[in-house]
Amino acid sequence: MNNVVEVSQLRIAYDEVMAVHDISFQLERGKIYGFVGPNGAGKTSTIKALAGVIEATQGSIVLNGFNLDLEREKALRHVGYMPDFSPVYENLKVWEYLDVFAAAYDIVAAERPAHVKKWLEKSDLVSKRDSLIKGLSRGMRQRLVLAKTLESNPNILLLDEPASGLDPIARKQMRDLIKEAANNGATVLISSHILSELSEFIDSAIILEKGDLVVAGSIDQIRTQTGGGQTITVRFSDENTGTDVLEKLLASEGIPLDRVSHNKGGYVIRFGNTGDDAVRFLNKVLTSGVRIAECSLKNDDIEDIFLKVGAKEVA
Amino acid sequence: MNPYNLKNNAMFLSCWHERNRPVHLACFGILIASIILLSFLTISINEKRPDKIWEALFYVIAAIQALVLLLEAPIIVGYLASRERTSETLDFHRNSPQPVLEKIFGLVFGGTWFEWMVFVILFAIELPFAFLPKLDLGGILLFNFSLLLSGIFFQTTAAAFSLISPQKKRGSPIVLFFLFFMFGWPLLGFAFASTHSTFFTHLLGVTAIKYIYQDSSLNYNGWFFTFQLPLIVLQVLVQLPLTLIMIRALKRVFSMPNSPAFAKEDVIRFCFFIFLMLTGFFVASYIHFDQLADRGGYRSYYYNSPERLLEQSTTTFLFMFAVIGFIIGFLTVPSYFKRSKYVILSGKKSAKLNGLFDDGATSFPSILIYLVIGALFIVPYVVIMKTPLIHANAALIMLGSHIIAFAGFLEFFRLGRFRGNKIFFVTTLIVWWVFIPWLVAAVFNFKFERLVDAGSLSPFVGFAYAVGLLTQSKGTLTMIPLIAPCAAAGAAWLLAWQEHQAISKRIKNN
Repeated sequence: MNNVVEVSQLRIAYDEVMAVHDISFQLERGKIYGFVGPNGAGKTSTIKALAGVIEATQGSIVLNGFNLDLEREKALRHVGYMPDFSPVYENLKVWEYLDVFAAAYDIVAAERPAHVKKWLEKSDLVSKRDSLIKGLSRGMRQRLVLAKTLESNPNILLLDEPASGLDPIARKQMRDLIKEAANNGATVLISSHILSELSEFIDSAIILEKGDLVVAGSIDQIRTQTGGGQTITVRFSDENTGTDVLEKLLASEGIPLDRVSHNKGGYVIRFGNTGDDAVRFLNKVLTSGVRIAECSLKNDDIEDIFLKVGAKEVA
Repeated sequence: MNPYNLKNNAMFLSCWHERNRPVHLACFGILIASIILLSFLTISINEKRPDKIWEALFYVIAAIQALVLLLEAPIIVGYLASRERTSETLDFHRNSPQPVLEKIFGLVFGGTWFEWMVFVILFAIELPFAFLPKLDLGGILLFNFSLLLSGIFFQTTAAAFSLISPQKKRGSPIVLFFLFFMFGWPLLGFAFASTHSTFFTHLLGVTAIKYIYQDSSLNYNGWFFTFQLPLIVLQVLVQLPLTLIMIRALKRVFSMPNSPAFAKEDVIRFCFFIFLMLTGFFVASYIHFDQLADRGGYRSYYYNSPERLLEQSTTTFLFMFAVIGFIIGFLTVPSYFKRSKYVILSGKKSAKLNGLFDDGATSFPSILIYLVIGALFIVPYVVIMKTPLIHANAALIMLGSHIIAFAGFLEFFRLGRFRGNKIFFVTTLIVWWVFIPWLVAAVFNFKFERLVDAGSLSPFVGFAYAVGLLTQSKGTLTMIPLIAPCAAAGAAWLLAWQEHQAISKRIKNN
């Protein structure tokens, strides 16, 4: 069984508002999925329904082969859930918080002290081990809740805006922890508004808008499906000569000028697919004899794709 | 929330850091010791006989024990549970794979370990008092066992009510428990003075007093219908099923987040059980009226004659019937979410629905079953009081119509376009139950013979009239008090039916 999460015809309605409208998707083992959409797209509702925190109006959710409605405890056995803000027990010590949830996930008593120590180190909270949680900053709380979510070694991780409130260093630590979990076989579904950050480490994405699933799949698949492509950026040492050469090359390749834009002394040329066209064109530019100061070839990232499919509010 | 190992119980740990610091515990211990010491000194001033002094001191200790376990502990459980709900840490436990019963017991008992410790320590202190002439070991053990049962029942109830509260703010069940004790206080007097026990004395745990206050030669027995049973068994019969219903409600809170905490089957069971108990204790009181009035030397104004007992019990039964009827409406009328889900799923063959008792099903069948249960258990009252059948039927039809009308209106409200507008709901009820009846009565110049007719749209008047019909204090039976609530019920359900159609149509269009 390669799909660890199977969502079918999921509908979540609050009163007359349809937060999620009959969406279906599958998540494969060991992959990191970005869950993308503007505010009100239904990301949090979907994650909460997957975590068993809210009930779906209709549809089925199968986690690790167990139907959430029918075999709740088994389905949630290996699911880690981190909500978009960090509910904590204010009057517990940091290590106690981790210890309580380690016990809830059946980590044996003899192993727990070392286990807690390991996760304190990973979340950079060793110095706060004996502090009460009410004294922690928001970022520290986020890290603590992330550690709590990861410590049971879940094979499905549902993370709702985990990076909110974190400083850049903590964000990098969080990314490393999530990558490590994925390398160990966990499937991660992570929602975030910071798309540039997501694009650095997700394998696949699910894009929602107004409760509907716009597109889902690996980044390459989505890029192809959405007509996403590649971008060449080139800056010539001598701009006049370079411009002439570029115009000739564009004409000979039949590339319309509306795909070219001028930006900060350089040119940006967009290609509407992920085939070899961009690479071939770049080769021609490089071998044309004109002196080049700087050039790059970039695939569309999640942010570009997201903007392309129309959900422009976030970016 | 591990109930066996408190080191892994967030409730216990929270309390440990928050209010159970060694200094706090020491202060609490000193306070209890001071109360006992001061009581001893005060009693010694007025009483010279040593055995009487020790006896009085025992009662002080027993009272502290009862207050800590039955008042303080449930308030703490209620507070912690409501904090669990509002801080949303509850979601982590919903999401964790721990068996749900462990979560429930961890939540209920984790935060009150200190109160339970005080209970146990005071129990140990009480044991030597068994050597006093008026007290005996059996009585002390039974007293403590009775407190223990009530403690479990109260704490489970506090946790359930705090978790299911719809309020977004953190609340505390203090008000609830003040009400509880307000109603329980008069029963304390009854429990002290009478050898008899009732449903309410067992429900509120005040029967415990009998084991230490009354003569043990009475064998601590009570009656239920025609059976003589130990009081502790009767207490178990009353409190245990209710505790189980609360546990089932808590189970649903953890595993069915958007569903009502009380399943319709449980609500029906609850009603059946309450009426069975009420009727059982009523029949026993009537049959053994002599013991109720005389054996314990109890001369109550209420129970000084069998007729007074009948009137009082019938009023209580009808009051419970009416009040629970309206509560049933609140508990069984589906929410908009559940109704929508039900309508969507009813169109799918593979859907798992719970038939008439599904959370999204209309409340009408549940209300009807409730009325049938009420009608069944009113039979002993009617038979004993020799009420004419037509009067009994009229009383039931009238009260039943009020309950059906209310449920119908509530269903219309929850499914209709005004569902978010509580002011609409309250205003309509005030107009319907108070303003219109008052207006009609004013038109008839408040003539007494017309008041019942005029006020029959109001359940307040209806209730008094039904009691009058049943106890035969008002013999005249007229049609208007029957027709008006029936008409209101019909109108309310017509509105509700329209909303059902509107939801189905809306979902079809989606």
